[in-house]
Amino acid sequence: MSIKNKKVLIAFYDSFHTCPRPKRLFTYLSKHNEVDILSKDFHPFPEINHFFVLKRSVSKLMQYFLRILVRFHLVGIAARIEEKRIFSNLPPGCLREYDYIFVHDISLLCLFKHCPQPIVYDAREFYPLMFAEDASFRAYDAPIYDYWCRTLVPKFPCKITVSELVVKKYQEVYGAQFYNFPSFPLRSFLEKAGETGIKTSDGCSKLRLIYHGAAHKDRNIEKLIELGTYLSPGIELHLMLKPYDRGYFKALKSLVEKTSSVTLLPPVAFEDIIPFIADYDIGIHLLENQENQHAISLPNKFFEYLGAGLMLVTAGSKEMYNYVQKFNLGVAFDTEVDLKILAETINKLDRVQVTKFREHNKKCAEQFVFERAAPALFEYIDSLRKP
Amino acid sequence: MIDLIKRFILFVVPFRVYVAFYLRFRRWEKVYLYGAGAMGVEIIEFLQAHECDDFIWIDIRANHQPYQYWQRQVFPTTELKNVAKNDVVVICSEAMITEMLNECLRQGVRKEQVVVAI
Repeated sequence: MSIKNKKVLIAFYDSFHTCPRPKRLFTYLSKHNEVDILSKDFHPFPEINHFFVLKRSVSKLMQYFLRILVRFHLVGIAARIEEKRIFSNLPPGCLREYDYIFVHDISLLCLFKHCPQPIVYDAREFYPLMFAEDASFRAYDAPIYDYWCRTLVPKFPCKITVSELVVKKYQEVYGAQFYNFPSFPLRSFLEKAGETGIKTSDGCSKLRLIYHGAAHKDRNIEKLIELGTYLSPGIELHLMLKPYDRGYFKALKSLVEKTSSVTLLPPVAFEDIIPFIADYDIGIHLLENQENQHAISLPNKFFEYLGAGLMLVTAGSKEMYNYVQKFNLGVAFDTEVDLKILAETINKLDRVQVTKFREHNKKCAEQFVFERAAPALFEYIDSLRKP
Repeated sequence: MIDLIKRFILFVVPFRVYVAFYLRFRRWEKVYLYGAGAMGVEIIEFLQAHECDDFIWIDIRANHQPYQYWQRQVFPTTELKNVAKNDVVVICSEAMITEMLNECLRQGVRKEQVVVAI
């Protein structure tokens, strides 16, 4: 089932160009529907009806006050104040015009709590554990998210999220039913990779590993750089990082400069990621921190590696481990692993093995595309919309 | 003493309210609001809601991003060259203060003329 000639609103607290999940949904739906965007961009896009949303800043005194409220278990009051900070130029009453409204951020749900239209809440994260390794997040943001998960989220019957383990977590902690809709790439991106011709490094003697993503402290990218130093001379590691945290990115850059086996690459546009990484042999994902939700979530990059037909090497992500084991996509460890052991595993790989995995994964990728999963999603959404 | 008062006011009220006061009580100067990111937009929204229109809005992206929501022209940073002795530049950002302050200084604005959120 697919939807046609409908009016859709996609709301998210991020920039349209840097937020893959809502952008993917937009690209898919806008072919046959009128899709409006509510995002953190402050300029209109050509041919898209766009509204902006922002979170008003508060004074230092108010920040202390909010923290005191949370400290003394008055989370409800702090959450209400947080809700009041959200501001948008959506005209009042305009929500009635939409057939479907997708909300991709828990903090935006407050804008839609009195909306008569059914809302599809897409939880991209398990919010109470989003940055769980950060003490300030645990002290303030996590209780607020927890409060919203208990009070606000149940008001929205149609809920989707990114992985099976996140579905389970929401069920365990809040008794909430979520539909699993992983971040599969659009088929056109895979075709783009095919068109450019996968420049396999078959001719090249070196095996090439790629990691791409945001340079954020909780990703422990310095560990990947350390891993690079343990790799044998026949293997190269390339990091394509988006400088999300400038200080951290700078520190990583200086670490990379000290090594010869690791190379830093500038990021490419979201739609060019799969064609670009198709030049590589292995997609790597290493997770050290098991406290936060990354261990149970399933990031875009997993399916991007797969879509590009790369062999997968993952460690620390339980959900990735499940996929890799089930579909035989490469090598995976379900918990954090000693870097030297991981490097040893990679060093043992030869081109024949890698090529075998690549050919297998390229075929597998066909079943993990957005277009294939979307009809079931819309069927689920419509089943909840019917009175 | 004035600096202490400024710091106290900034501790108590959000920066957008501080800027609005600034505009109300310093009408004899030209005020340049530098920054059209989240904080810039928040300040402009607040000022327009409180009918404070006496300012010039500038941003580095002025030439390639249309800020049509506010029916107000955004000027490029080269406009900083026209800042006169008695004018002030309000930096509407927290994350990019150093870069924006350096740009102001590079364009000939004196440090004392620049107002920041901290």
